[in-house]
Amino acid sequence: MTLRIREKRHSMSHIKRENLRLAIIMLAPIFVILMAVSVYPLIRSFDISLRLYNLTKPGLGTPYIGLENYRFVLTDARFWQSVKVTAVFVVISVTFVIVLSTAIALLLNCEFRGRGIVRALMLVPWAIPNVANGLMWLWILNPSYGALNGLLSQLGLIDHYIVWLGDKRLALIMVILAEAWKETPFIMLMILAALQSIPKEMYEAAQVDGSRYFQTLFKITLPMIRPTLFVAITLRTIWAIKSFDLIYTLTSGGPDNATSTIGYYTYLRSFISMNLGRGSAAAWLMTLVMIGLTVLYQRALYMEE
Amino acid sequence: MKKSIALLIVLVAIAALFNTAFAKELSGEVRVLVRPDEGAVFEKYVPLFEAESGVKVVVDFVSWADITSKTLTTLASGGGGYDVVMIPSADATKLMAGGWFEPINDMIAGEEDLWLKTVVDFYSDTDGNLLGFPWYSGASHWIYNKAILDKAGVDPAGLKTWDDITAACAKVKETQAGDFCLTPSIKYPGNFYYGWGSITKAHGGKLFDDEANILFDQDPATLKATKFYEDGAKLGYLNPAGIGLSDYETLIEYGTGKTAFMLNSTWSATQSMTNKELSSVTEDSFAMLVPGNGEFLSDTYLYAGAFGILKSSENKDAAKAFIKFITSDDAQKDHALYGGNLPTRVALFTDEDIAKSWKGYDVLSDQLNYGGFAPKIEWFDEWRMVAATAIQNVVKGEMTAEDALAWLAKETEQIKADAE
Repeated sequence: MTLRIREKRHSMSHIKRENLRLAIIMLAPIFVILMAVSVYPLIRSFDISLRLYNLTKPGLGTPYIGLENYRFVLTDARFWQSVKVTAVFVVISVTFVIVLSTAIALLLNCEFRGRGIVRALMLVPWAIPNVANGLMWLWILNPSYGALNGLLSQLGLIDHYIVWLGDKRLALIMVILAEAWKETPFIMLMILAALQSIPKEMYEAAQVDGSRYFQTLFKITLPMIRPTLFVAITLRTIWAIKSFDLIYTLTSGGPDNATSTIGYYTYLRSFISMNLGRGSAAAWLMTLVMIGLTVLYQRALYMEE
Repeated sequence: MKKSIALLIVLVAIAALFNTAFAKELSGEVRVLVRPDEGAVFEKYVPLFEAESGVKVVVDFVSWADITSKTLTTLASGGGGYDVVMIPSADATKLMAGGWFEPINDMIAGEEDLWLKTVVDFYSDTDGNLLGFPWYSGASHWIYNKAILDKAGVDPAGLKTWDDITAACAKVKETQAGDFCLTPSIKYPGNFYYGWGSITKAHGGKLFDDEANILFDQDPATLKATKFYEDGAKLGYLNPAGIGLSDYETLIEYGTGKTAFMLNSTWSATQSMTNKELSSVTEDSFAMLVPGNGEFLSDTYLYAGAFGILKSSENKDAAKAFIKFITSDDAQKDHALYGGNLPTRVALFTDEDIAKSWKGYDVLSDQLNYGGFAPKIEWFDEWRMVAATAIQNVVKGEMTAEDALAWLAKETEQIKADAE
């Protein structure tokens, strides 16, 4: 009896060991890839952020200089200007995209003729590459022959063409609009999937109880999709903070740094100043902000739950 | 007879030895890093060179947007295995400061007169080492729409100075011959070469001295050029849309036929006069020298491209042979005909085929005699960005010309301090 138990235990532990070995073998390639493309660059960029690393001055070498690059970035007026722009950009862009996505998802969750086609069409902006999106908006917003000026002029809403990307406030609004146009479909898709997972019985029960549309929306729909909304807000915030390609294509951070976000500042320090040390320090500060916000969101989500 | 046969055998042996040595010298592979603009010429001439020399040429293309960062990171990381790297003039100071390029004076020795001197000088360091072999050249050019000027009663032959231009702008506005006089690119990076930078130079303005000390904040000519923007915006001569337009977009804007003048690159100048897909005013567009300040006829900023050989190259002789081949008369001619770039071989400035193909080729190539290169400052790119912001603020009426230059001087000191 004891022997059987021992044999059984031995055989189970053998199976466990085999499973473990199989798991290690199966996971090893992705582990190696992750180490090579994610962990190593992270460590390397942190290492660079602690060094004097100016590509235009190779004669100076790359000695360690402690936190000097972080000190430089944190005392640089342009960095704080970009933090301000990023904060405005993130708050407006995330709020706008989440509200718009929720509204469209609610609409597309209703049953109507041609819903499938409309759903497919709604995803088109998301399928357009970021740079192509930027170039497209550049043409739309062109002050001399852009479609937006043409349309508003034909509708009689403006009497002279507007330089959309030449004014500080307008430029930021236009970048947010272009970003929203591109990013709304994906968030909408997430919310739509969450909406479809709400049991219909709940709506039927609410209907029987005489609940009105907004009561149902705020008491049933939104609470039920709250976890998805949190994920969507977290993702949108991270994407908005690191937003670069659209700004690079549309405004190059201008006019007067009005659209220069932290992502663009990082690019400037890295690839215009060619100071990889300062650029890496800025990138790490940006990463810390994103980690901080993600933790805050997660905490808020768990507290809600 | 025996002696003759022996001599013949010896000669054949020597010839064979030389031949082997030459073949050995020019074998292997040459790796080249260039822009896509070079594509057509490389497509034609690389196979020809390979067939002639037996050297394999591997070409990697990098876009305009990435050329500085890609090239600099490649060089800083040991050269990336490249033998030949293209050096655009805008990045030359940054790229040449690192000591990565092999001096190639021997390639041009005895042939100096065949090449555009300004370009040769620009690609030489302070010790006289030639680090980039001249490939193409270009300038910021002044183009006018004759139909608009005729309607406004302006004779383009009389436009010699910036005061003449201002007077012409007033007439264009007064007669409503065009919507605007000029749409300069006031956005980085166009603002420097195809806007305020060249206009300042044409006014006789001095931006920096040889030690990169600021001159522009105390320079009357620079102030006058900046005032041209301030007053031009107030009086409606300058199109404020330029704040958001790149130099390419100002070409498209000019091509709609609503603007009297255009200041743009050699490529854009040729397109405005010849390419009906980009310009609806090809027939009415003509080139003239960028106006001067009365003391000199004309001035503007020039640009160029060159090929450098990396010190880390293990096949320098083959690299040199390739560069010689790709910058030959024929290749440069093709680059001019199809690429819209001016050559660097002096003989080609009187080439009939290019002159036939390019409207205003004589004027465009003559502009090279009245221009100079941008200051050789490592932080020049950052400065150009801030300079664009200053001029944008002037055009928007948020700063006077004086305030903008004072602000730019303050920002420049900060950029200098940061770079040091």
